[in-house]
Amino acid sequence: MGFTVKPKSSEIYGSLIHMYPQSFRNHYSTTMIQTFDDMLENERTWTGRLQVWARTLLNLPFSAAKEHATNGKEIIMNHNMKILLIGAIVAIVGVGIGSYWFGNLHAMQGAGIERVTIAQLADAMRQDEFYSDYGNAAVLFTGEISAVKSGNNATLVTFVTNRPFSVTCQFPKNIAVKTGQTISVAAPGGSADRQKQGVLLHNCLVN
Amino acid sequence: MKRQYNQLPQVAFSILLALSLKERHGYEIIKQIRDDSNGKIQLSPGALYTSIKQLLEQKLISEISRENDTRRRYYSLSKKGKTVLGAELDYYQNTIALARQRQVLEISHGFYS
Repeated sequence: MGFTVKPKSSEIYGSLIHMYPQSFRNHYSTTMIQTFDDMLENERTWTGRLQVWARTLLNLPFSAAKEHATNGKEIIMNHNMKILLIGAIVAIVGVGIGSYWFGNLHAMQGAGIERVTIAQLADAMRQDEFYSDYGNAAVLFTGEISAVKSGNNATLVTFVTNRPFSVTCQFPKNIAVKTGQTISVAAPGGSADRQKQGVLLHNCLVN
Repeated sequence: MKRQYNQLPQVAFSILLALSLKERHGYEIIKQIRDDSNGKIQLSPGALYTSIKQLLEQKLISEISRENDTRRRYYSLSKKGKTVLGAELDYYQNTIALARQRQVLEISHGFYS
């Protein structure tokens, strides 16, 4: 890949870890930075990386304060810690605004849309790779309907697949479709639930 | 002393469950918890390692160092951890059985089955 975020991200996160007590840092700082690097490396999209940053920064002041509290020590902030705390707050706000702006831009450009097959969806959930592959994307697929179940202003549509795992869509209203019909569907990948025998996608739309 | 039910915080419970199959390092634990919860629980490194520290202090998990991977620490479920996890799972199993018996789950269960 053309650019790397890892070294800069590691350095920034390594600085922020100074909010934790010295004893905690001595034991965990290296492995925490490595875990943070692993998380970033395994996110395929910019929005995914931003979400990792946002989650990490949002949790940082709370987990650091908790760790100081469990150490039985009063949180005394020196000059560097104050700068780091202010920096963390600025970064949190920045990442929040950036996520919102970039997320919208991403959606408008269609970069967050994954065109997939029914078999790919079934296999991804069966192999526990669904959320890493499609958790941050909208999935688009076309399939033949094998079963329709309506009720409570919602419709469940199951698709034909030759896989051991089934793929079912929940439409938040009654829709006029029937078994044997082929339809195209859009659904947020993050809304998927693992069911006993397949994947259930919520908030589906007929595309 | 008989252990009381449901004493573990959710993150601690999720970590023990993630380690129930095999030993894992930090990112593997985070990924397993995310998959186990269908993406609903997504931990940061800070949340993970503060919980891991407590679980180590309670001797519910053990730390393993690997010479070929010095930047990562691996964790496994201890014997005590297995007992505690088993008690928690018993509690949840009994609660779900009770809810089914009282037909609290009837609507959602019927809809998706």
